Amino acid sequence: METVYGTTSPFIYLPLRYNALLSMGPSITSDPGLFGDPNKWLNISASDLLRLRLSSVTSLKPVNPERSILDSDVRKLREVALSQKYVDIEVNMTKSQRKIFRDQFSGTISVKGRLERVLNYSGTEFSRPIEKVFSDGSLRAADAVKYLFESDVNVYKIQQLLSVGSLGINRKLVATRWSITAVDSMLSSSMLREITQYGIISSYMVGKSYIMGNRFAVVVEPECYSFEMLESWAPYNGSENLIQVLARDNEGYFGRKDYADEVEGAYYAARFSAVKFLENIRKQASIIVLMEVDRNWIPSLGVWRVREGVKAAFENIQKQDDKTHAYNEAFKFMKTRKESWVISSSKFRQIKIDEFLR
Amino acid sequence: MLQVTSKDVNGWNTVIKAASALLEEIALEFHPDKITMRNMDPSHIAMLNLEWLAQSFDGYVCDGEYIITLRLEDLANVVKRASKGDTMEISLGEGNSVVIKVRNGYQREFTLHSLESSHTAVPLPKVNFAAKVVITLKGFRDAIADIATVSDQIVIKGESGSLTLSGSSEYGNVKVTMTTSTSELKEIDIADSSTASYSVEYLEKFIRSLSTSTDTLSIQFGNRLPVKVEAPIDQKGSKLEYYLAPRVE
Repeated sequence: METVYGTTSPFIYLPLRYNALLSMGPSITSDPGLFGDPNKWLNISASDLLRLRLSSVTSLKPVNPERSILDSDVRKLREVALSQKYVDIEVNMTKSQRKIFRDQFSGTISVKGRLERVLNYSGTEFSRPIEKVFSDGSLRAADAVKYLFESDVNVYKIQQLLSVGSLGINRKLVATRWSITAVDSMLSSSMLREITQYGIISSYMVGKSYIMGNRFAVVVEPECYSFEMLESWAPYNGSENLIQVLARDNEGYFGRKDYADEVEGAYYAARFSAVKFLENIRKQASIIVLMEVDRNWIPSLGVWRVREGVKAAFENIQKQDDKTHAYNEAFKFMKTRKESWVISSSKFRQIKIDEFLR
Repeated sequence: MLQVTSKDVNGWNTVIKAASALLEEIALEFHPDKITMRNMDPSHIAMLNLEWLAQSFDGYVCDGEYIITLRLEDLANVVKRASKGDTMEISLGEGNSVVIKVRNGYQREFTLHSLESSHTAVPLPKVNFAAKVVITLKGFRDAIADIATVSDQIVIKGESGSLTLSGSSEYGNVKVTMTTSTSELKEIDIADSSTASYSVEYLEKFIRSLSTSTDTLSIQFGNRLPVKVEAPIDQKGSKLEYYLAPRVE
């Protein structure tokens, strides 16, 4: 057993174990400013990011999502996670062979051993909104998430707070990957209740971005709200010249209740950025997100890449003359064949009832 | 003057449930002989058309043309308060309000504010359907549920004497075949062999909204045409019609 002392951004990692059990522990890093802020990851290369993640020292101990919540070490780690500033932390851990957790939702983490005990921590500072939701045991998790977001707490911090069981009425630990999707989903649903009351955007628009092996095109149509996301791996596996059915999930005006089981967590991350765009301009629209993976892609960097990639595409959005121009612009940006997008889309294949009223 | 009385709220429940699957507001048009409602969903994929005849009500007094637009959630919350055996009466209140009285021994009176309607009249789809079947609600509901296990798209195919409902995806295929000897298929009239695809989600939402007391549905469709599902509200000629635009294969 050895004592490790260092700084955490703070990031407390909760990967899934088995039978709904979790592990939990802090990631100690040499660059907490970068490690804890995915907004900054766009400015570095994928390999630098992977190096940063793998160089961290993460130690984990098994926890039960409900029963462990008041254990001494869990309580300490939960408090560390609340901090808005980096936290110095000292832990006892038993070193083991390095184990790399590759999680497509929460990213790659290198686990160096078993967390035995959290000895000390210092430097915690709590913002007023975070203190408020933490101390209010009668505030529902969805309301706490909304309140934090409206108080300008960034979405990655909110995901961390939900994961360590600091929000809601019946508090429990939540796997990092599920907390990411849950927060994306809660915030989008909350914003959509407002957005569907707004007027419809006036023109077609297209935005594009390329981030770490992922190419994104967003097409905005002047219709009532709907959302669809298509995901192609064709340029990654060299099948871009084939016409093939792609992964797709979509929802109409009233949203969706079941899990997006084809595009999974990326769907919720992309929808969050799309809905945030609509909320910012106070309009509703129908949005299609095309996502393509190419050979520069490095696995398991996490769905933040989708959230930030779609956000970047909306930041570069441009008006288009009409629907044909808009889709041509989007398809031209992609390597996958146009026919693959068209046959896989629910929206493209759905005729409107208006066509039969004439 | 407007005063519409029902001793059974089942009809209201059916109309509200069907509309809630597509809409947030309901614009009911009261005429001297019937209530109508015609709305497309926000995405313009489906249309609901209601024809609710005066004789379906226990009391129907309407001396003109009135349009009442209500938030469906508000109306649903009031109708939910009526139990079996209660009488429900709708009338106009002061200003832009609607008064709903629920009676069973004592009287409860709810006042809802009518919304300023953005509703514009739309025509019904002009379509010559090539195929018509009459099928039990249970038969159609079960077939859709079967297809929903693998696909979000249903293919309806009508040929002489047989109706095939199918769906396929990378997970597998489902095919439900009914012929004139199948008890669920009551009538079949195919002028031309017809095949068309539709959204399972949209059809399922409408079918689920129908009361289990609905016996049979009339379904009309054709190659690349909408499907029209006609469901009786009662035995007195009142009906809900649901038009759903096709999907391209």
